[in-house]
Amino acid sequence: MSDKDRRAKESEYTYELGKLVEKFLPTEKERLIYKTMEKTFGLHPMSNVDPLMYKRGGYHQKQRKEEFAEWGKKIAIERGIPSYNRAVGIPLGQRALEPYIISGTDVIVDYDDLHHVNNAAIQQMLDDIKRTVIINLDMTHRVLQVRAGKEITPETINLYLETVQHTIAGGAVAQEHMAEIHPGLTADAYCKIITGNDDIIDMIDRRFVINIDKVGFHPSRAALLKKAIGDTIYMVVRAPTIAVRMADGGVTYRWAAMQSSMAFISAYRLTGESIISDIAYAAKSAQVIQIGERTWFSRARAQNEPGGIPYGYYADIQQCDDTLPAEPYFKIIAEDLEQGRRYMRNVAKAGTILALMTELIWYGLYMSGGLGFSTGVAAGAYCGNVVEDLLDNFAEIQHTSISRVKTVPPRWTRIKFITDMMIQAAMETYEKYPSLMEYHWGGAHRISLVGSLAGSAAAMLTGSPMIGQMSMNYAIGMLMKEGWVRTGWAGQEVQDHLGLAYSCAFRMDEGGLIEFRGPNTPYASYTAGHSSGAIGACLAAQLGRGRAWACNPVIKVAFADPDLKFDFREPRLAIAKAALREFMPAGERDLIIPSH
Amino acid sequence: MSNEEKSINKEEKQTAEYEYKELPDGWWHELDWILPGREKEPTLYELFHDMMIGSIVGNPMSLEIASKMVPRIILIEIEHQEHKTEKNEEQKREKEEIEYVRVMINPTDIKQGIPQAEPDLIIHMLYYDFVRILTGEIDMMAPIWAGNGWILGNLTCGLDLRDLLAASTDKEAQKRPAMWPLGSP
Repeated sequence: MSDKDRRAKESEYTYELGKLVEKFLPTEKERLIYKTMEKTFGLHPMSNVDPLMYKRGGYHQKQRKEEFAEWGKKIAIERGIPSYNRAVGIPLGQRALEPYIISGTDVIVDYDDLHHVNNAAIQQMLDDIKRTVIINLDMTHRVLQVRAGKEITPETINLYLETVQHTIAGGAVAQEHMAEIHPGLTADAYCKIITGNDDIIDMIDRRFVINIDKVGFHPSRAALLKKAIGDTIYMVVRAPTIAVRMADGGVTYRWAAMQSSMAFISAYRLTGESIISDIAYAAKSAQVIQIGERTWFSRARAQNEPGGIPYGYYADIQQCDDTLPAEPYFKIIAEDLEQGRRYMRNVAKAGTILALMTELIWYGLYMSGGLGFSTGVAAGAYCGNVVEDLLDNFAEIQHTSISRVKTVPPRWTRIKFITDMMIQAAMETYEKYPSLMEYHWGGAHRISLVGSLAGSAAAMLTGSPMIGQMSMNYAIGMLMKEGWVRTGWAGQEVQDHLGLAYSCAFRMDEGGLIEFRGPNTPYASYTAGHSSGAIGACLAAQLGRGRAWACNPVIKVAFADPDLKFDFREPRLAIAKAALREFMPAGERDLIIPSH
Repeated sequence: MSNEEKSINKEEKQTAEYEYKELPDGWWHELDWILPGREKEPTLYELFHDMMIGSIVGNPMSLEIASKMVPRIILIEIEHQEHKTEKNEEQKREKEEIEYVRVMINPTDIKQGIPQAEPDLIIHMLYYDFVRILTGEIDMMAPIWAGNGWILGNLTCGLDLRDLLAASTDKEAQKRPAMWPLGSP
């Protein structure tokens, strides 16, 4: 063949990725991931070699581990039985015991401080969810009017609300022989009402109201929430933390039922068995919103435990999106990159609660006994600025490509390519940064992150959690498996394999509406790394539709309450404070035990 | 129509919402880079070939951009639909239902058929949509979002092609996302 006839052959033109990395180092250095990983490991984060390996000082490189070792010795001496002991097991700290940077902050903490037993804020987040139940007062008011002939006025409602603050904290109102609780032990117990009616709000003592207009919602969000809730009056009951720590989430509605019924009896001067049974039923059972349903037998837990909370409720419990305008995301991102990034970043922030509640608390503690492995899986969502870095870049690519469309319909063909591109970029990032691979050291970390990114992005663009779920399943079961030949914890979990048939099923045993599914759905009942992505899809779909809540507006408002101990709007700051031992939880017993 | 008026109309088209449409008969005669002698509606290969020669290769900006890219292989799959104005068999040219064109960037080459190596990017699109992309009338992503096509493969390769086409039509390229600057693989 002469040179003239010769055509360019595709296979003759190749390039070495390793060399190109050096060329684009200045770009990489601008990335959040680069900066965070460099700070975390103290090395060039794209290097394959750790020259300090075996020279990092063992467990002494971490102040917290030294503290543990000291305490272990002290306990062993005091009780005569060995306790925590660094002389057993492998010698920790031959590699870097890396510090954890809480994403979006400058706070650097020890990994051990993010363990749920060491972190009071994580515990309080769980307690605040478990100790909440919502009672609708309309039915009770109706029974009081019709059956007892009582008049319901703003004055009687205020008297009732004042009384219920007393009873919910363990105070007696109807029987002298009732033992009472030291109020210092139940200082976090209270009740507040929620309504969408401004006239009712004006007439109720403001100390007893979660005022939708004044708890920080964006006005467009507040308007939607008020319209949805309407004239109905709900009462949010916060049982004391100490109650759920002694019993379980199932105690909350019973506590609320008993104490709210007693308050009705007292405030409305009720007597007689028949009327009281009607009132009690109306007050405690007729229109009660539990935060979580009972879980199925082999995972058996009572109501209000994390395994029984639907994905849609989780999406409403977090409050990270409260300040964003209620407008469809795809319109926002097409017009304004920075605002689009705000949406993305708030979804990432919400991921903190979602990952902690599902990966760390439900799968790690309840299902697996509370070892430390799921600490890292959950931390992937809120440490190291990894999610932020990727979402920032995804927002930019969406911004440049999404112009001139009226809508992004929830069709798989419209979303597949963007999922492909984003997840390939995420996977490339892992490959470029060995330090990030070390940071997210297990498959569960990576499927959790990759699945959440894919699910959230697809749901945000289309407003459909089902498309989000499909995208998540495709990212894990196809892209990760094709690219890395493994997925989660050895890839054996059912959700790590392509199974769109059941992912999209509405038959009861297989799925249902995604907002009403949860970790209690049979196929999702014991797999790590997936639930937070499914919840993220529900939340992202809500933002994609430009709505103010994902599943239940009352749940949304109930957790916007500024008097809650845990901050559901700024979860990372609360957790960082707790890691620094500056977070004060509820449910302490100091008042009834010797000083220590 | 003056050049200024033409450019205004073009601008209006670009900001308008995308909608699929067929082009009027003889549309290719209006293109200044089409090679002479094209009497029938060109295939994608012919069209891209002419554009390479008449617009991309001769455009210093396109060349500068292309020279900074890593070698790329792009497979374009084009769906040909029957043209409403092609009333009789004579007017209809022999066109495959799906036409495959392999495009290489750096070095530049174009040929019919599928590539011998795995492509960096596959673009599947309707013929008239792709023509409108080549002429700068619509953005490459518009038909994709509208569900009239799909792409599969390397994100940055898609950005490269978009930059190249923008330069060839004398348009300012869209700012690239910071993570994927020109030349990144």
